Amino acid sequence: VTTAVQIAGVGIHPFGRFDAGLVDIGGHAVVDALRDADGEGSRRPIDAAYCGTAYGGVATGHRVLAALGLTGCPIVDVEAGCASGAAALMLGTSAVASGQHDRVLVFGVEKMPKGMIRSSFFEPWREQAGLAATPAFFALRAQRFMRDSGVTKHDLARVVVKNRRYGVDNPDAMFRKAVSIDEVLGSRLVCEPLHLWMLCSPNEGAAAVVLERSTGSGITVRATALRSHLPGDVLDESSPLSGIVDAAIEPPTTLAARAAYETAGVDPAELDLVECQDTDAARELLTYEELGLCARGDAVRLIDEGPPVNVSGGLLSKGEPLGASALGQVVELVHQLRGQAGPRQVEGARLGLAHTIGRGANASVVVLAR
Amino acid sequence: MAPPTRDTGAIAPGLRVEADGADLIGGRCRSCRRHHFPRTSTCPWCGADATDEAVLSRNGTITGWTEVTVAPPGYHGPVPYLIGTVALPEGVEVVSRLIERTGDLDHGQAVHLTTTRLERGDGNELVVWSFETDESP
Repeated sequence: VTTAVQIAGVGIHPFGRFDAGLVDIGGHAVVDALRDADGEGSRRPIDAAYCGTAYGGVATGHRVLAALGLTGCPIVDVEAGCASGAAALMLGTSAVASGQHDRVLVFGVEKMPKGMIRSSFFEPWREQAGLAATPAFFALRAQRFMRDSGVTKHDLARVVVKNRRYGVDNPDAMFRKAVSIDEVLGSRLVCEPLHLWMLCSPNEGAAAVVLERSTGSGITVRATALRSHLPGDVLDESSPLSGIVDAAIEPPTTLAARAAYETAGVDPAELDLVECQDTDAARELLTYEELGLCARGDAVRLIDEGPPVNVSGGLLSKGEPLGASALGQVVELVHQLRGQAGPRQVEGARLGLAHTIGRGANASVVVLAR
Repeated sequence: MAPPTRDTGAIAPGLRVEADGADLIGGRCRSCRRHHFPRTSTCPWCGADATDEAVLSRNGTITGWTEVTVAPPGYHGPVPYLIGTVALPEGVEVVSRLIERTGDLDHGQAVHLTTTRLERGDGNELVVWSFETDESP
């Protein structure tokens, strides 16, 4: 027997570059979420906390909550690459759904160095060999996708233009200036076909969510699915050194999506809006297919005809604080489902999906409903 | 999976340098019979716990390529450089640096194995595998 879980409060620290330290950035989002859940001046206890972070270091969740006097409850720190926040959400949701806890806090926080992400995932010799260049793997995957689906560089630029246009209306985004196709294609080439503006920037930020047993009215967590990669795809986010030629291997995003749709009892065609991993512009289009939002080869059509995707501005506008990014998407969905998203509100939004895919590989799909 | 190996020094793991050239030393699973690279004691595709050493073909075809224009963290070699995937007759696809000798790279282009020496940043060098385009089709 499982209990329905609702989101009682959400909070966010803007994504960008700040003088504030990791603890302050995380604390800001946590306090914001508790205020949203409990109202000004009161604070109901939480039974457990789950903190997603990839670069925060040992006991990041404890450090953030210690500064707020919120320790004593179990605090679990979770690392799952770009899906860290979603992995924390999955654990928190399970704890409430199972009856283990009544009320939990889930948050993600990150303060990352500038530039290309350096990861302990790779052994030193691989870095020295030049075989740990993350954007190169994004580019190789983008090329394979373009060859398979007929997507062009112009299409990739359109994704950037779309997300950056949405980002103008998000005060929590790092980049809030609209860009043109020519500007995107004129930005520095990092790895063919990916130009600088087609890649998201690692940065800093935090997001937090308070979960509790459903009272039948709030925003309900309908599914939180996390999956890793199946072996054999040379270009999956586990960045192996070899794969199996011509193997048709289901990507982790598809595995997570299928599990989430089944748990939530929804069809992707019913979704009112989607927040997805636009680490690079091609990744967003590939994700449309992997999530089953469209048939293979139809991703470009979805830019104009599909449900609104990344109305928060996506990672291309917000930047990507790894541990926080998945929960940032959840915060956006909650604002949308509550009708509180201001100028970027998707009218009548009732069902939303959030997706991440990254190092591990780890893929997450979260479905929220009003 | 093998535990993370420590920095092995002069030659990239999986590469064997002989007098007559270099070889990629992969593995072949005794159960599913599929090849992998570099060799691991258990099969990364099916999980079976017995693999045999397999010297992979020196010739393959390009299945993807791109140019890295900015030095990634921890890399001290020249930029730009080429990186891609190469399909080998054993049915394994390998991530590799690429060396272009014919004016342009193409999907399906024939390449052969060679090696590249790179600065490691500590005064020493690392020898890593590379695939180079064949001079003529």
